[in-house]
Amino acid sequence: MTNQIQDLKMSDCFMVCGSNAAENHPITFKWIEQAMNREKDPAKLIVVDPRFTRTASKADIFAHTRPGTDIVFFGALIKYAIGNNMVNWDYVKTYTNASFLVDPNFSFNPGTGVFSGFKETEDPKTGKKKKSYDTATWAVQKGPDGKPLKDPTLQNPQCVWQQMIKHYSRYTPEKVEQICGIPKAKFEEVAKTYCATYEKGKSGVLMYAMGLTQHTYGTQNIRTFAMLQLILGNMGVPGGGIDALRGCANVQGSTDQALLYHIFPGYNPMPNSAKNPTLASYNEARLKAVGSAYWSNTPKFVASYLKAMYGDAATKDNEFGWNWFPKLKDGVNYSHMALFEAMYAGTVKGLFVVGQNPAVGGPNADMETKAMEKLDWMVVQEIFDHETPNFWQRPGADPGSIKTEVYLLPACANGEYEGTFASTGRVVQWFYQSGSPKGESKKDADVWGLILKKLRELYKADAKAPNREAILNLYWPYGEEINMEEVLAELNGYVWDTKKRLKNFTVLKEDGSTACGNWVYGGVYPEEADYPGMDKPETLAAAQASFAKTKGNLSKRHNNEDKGNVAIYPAWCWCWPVNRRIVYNRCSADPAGQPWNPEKNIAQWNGTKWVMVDVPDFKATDPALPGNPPVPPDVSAANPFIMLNYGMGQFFCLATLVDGPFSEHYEPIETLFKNEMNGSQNNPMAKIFNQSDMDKLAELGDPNYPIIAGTSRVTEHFQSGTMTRNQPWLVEMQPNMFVEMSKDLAKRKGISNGDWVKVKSIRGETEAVAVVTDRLQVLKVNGKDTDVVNMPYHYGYKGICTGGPKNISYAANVLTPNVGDANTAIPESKAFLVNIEKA
Amino acid sequence: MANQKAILVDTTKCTACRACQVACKAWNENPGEKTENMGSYENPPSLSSYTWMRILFNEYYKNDKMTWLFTKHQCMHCTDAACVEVCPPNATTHKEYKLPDGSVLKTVATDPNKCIGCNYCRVACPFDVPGYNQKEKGIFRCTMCFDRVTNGVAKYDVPACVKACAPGTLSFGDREELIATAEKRVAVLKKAGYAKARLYGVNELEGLTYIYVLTDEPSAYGLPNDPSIPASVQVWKALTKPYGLVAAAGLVVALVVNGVINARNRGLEEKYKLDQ
Repeated sequence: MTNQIQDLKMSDCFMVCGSNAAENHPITFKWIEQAMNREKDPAKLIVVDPRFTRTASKADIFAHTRPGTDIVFFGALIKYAIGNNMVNWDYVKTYTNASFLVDPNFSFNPGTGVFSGFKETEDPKTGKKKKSYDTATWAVQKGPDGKPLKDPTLQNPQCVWQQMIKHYSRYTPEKVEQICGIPKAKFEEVAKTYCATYEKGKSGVLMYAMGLTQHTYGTQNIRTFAMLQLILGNMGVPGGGIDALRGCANVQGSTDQALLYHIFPGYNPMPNSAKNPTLASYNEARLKAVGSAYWSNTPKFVASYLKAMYGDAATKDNEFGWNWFPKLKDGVNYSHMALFEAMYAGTVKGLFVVGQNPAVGGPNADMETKAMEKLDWMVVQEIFDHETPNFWQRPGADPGSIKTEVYLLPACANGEYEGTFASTGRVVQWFYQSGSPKGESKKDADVWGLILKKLRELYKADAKAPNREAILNLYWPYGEEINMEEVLAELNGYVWDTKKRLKNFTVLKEDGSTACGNWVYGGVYPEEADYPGMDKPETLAAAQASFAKTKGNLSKRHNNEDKGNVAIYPAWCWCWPVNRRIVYNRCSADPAGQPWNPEKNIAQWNGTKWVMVDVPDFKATDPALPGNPPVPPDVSAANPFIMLNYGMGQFFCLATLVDGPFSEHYEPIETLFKNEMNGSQNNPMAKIFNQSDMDKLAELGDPNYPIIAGTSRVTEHFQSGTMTRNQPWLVEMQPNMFVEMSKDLAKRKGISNGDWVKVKSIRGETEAVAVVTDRLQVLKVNGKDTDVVNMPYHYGYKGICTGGPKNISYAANVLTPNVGDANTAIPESKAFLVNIEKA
Repeated sequence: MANQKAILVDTTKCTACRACQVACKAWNENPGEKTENMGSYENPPSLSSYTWMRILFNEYYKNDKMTWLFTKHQCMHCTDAACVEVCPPNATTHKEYKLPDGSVLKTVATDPNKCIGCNYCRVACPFDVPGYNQKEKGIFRCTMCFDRVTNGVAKYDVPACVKACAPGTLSFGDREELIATAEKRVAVLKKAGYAKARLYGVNELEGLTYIYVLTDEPSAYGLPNDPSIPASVQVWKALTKPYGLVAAAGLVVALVVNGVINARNRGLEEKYKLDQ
């Protein structure tokens, strides 16, 4: 989230698209309803979804849409806003790259459906075709000073603004009706309501989740709406933003700590063994790519991170142990689906699974469980025995022929130990131990500590072990029972010699004198002298009282005072970065530093200095000058998006996405329709995993699979159901796998409400209870009646509830394809093809 | 009903997350029941000795517009409570708990030591609150969490369902104040175009302990539009309470009524598979 959960109450309009907040993020609804029930100017809730959900039940406007067509809808909103002059011009002209002149060789060809620089090459060895983009033209024109050329009038046909108008001119309400199945009048009602937030002082927010991301163009879905938010002036303002609703209590935290393969902690890209053989080469490439963005501090982040990793062994001479640090092999994808392809192919031999249940949660689950059969060993560390460690005795498997050695390590649940959760709004909150671990169970960190201990013994004994120093030199100051507060101190960062914790990341050094496990957590755990409020006599007493409770750990603060009445709550736990609740908050005020709305005042220039409610995300004072003087508003107005090159909100994306600087509609890989927007059926850069014989895809218009399907969640269950399907109170509320379908479809198929039905895709089949409802409707797409169904993905074949009475897998993911987003490789689980018949 | 405590259910804010349903089970240590999906999210299919409250889901599709109504179903703790009236051994009675702030928590409860398991209360109840549980030897229903409310750390604690409610659907407080809040809410809803917005529970059966804000007829939510004490109970009352009646005639009529009630009871058993 660019904002935080409580901030939802400041909004004037919610666009909930690709999310079911009421069901999957129930607490967000507390704040949404506060905004909707406000006496003065109550907020509007718009829900656009393939099905009428519990969220939709509270909506002012609801529109049924076809899964996978969001770019058409959002693109048309962009065209509508500009065409109707619903533009916050001051915002667009000052805070975005609208005026930048685009490279004259940049183009998009609707005939071919690709941007300039596209090429298709054939591997001479395998004969396989490879699609790629040379992104050289996805750039702006620069003057002799290296700065972008601009046309402040936004009239030059080469400027970003005009290029954007041209690009989205094809995205008309007629196309929305034709492609999404949203009637023109309904589209206009939505557009008029949402775009009204362009008015100065109004704000609107996008709330999205997997409904937007799980597509082969998921990143571009969100980017399209981000562009609309810039047009309307909705980024960086209270009640605005792009709010990703994270799927688990701590998925933000796990992302921060680099759960994903492409980054290491602190959102630093993973180095590449071919391109970054030295730290110097990594830093050089990074500095070139990030330009003027705050990321130019990367060398400090990386040196401090490596110091935390390798301690005394990390020296300037050995580039802080850069050689030991893991690197990606050039051209190799390490994402979830790629790993399972590699297991299936037999190249990956061992699998360590923690807090995940791929036999239920992974796409093309039959293929993924088959891949597990080819492993030598598998370790599963879990609080419940679930489907994955039992893949060898899954329905239909022959246990005698499976040789994989499976180890199940009992983990304990949060509450049986202490630590932090980082909420979807980046708020890091300490949770306390309220019970003791059961039996032999241990917390994850302790298990890894033990594994490291054993590994060290093995590496020590084997002088020839590869990358031996990386294991032997790892700095590990923790005992067998790890104190999680000490881990938080490492994330916060400290001076290496004195072990004094750092104030925040601004004091990090690139000479190895500071260690920091994750620069974005810098400031979560300061020393007493740096504790917030200690520096002013008027706040000293309160600060001392707070410190007495937290001992410096700011994630333990529980003061819910809302200073300024703007839902900032600065002393409620701690928010990264530097307790900043709304990122890009320079944009909450106009170029002269006055808030767009006095009732949403989080940053104001009073003529001599900045008066802040939130922590500034811009240079409010200049510590480099004597006396740390205030910096007038025009300076920060020229660099409001400090994490982006040139400091401007990007309508034109500068070569950071692989599939285009503007977004373009492509059809889902499995679809019933030809792409009506351009000449490329699918995203040319989509990640298609097709190495195994189990990677099947239905062809366009395959008559065997005439129904569009998607997966989703319900309030009562969580993710792959590992925890909730073992909880009787939750199981009694949602006991069975089900599929929601329209009454019309059910009638044609002879299905009654409550019947068991078979759901089949080209990859697999499962059974489900038919929930026949008006909440799903037959959509009119391209003049054709189109059926959409939806299933929860929580069920499987283990636990006190599997989803049904038979010995089969009730996992919806046996149906989903293993194709993924061009940028992130998240699977396309929200739009694929199935058929349904009565069981 | 001055100073009486009540729960306000503002259904317009309910998202059917059912945290209340789980909180009720958790606080009262009631087990999960074995259920099946019958084509709806609503489950368990009825109240029981182990399920003292549940959220009802009702959906309507009219003029291309979908409405999905949610409401909370449990014992209403009626002032004019049929179950109290009908109970032969006077096992089911009104209870009162005095709270430190001077207010009163009123409930309807059944004393298991006096209960004879006749199930008349079940038949008489206009809200379908369950009757005698053979296995557990008693009648179990919403208690208004008197054990939380009367044992609060501060003035009083709120019932478990209220504590769990995130969107602000449920609130616990002084009945008159809650009614005033609800009236304001209804006015806002009417202004916003909900012509049928109304209060429910203020005057029904001389006042329920649960007050509802609705946007449609109660029946659209699965609540009786005009809850009343069944005619058979009225007859029962008329016959048993005035002692001057000829005993024999009374006995005859009572037997007839008894037969009617038992027949209906069997029907219900069939319908809801009453607890064994």
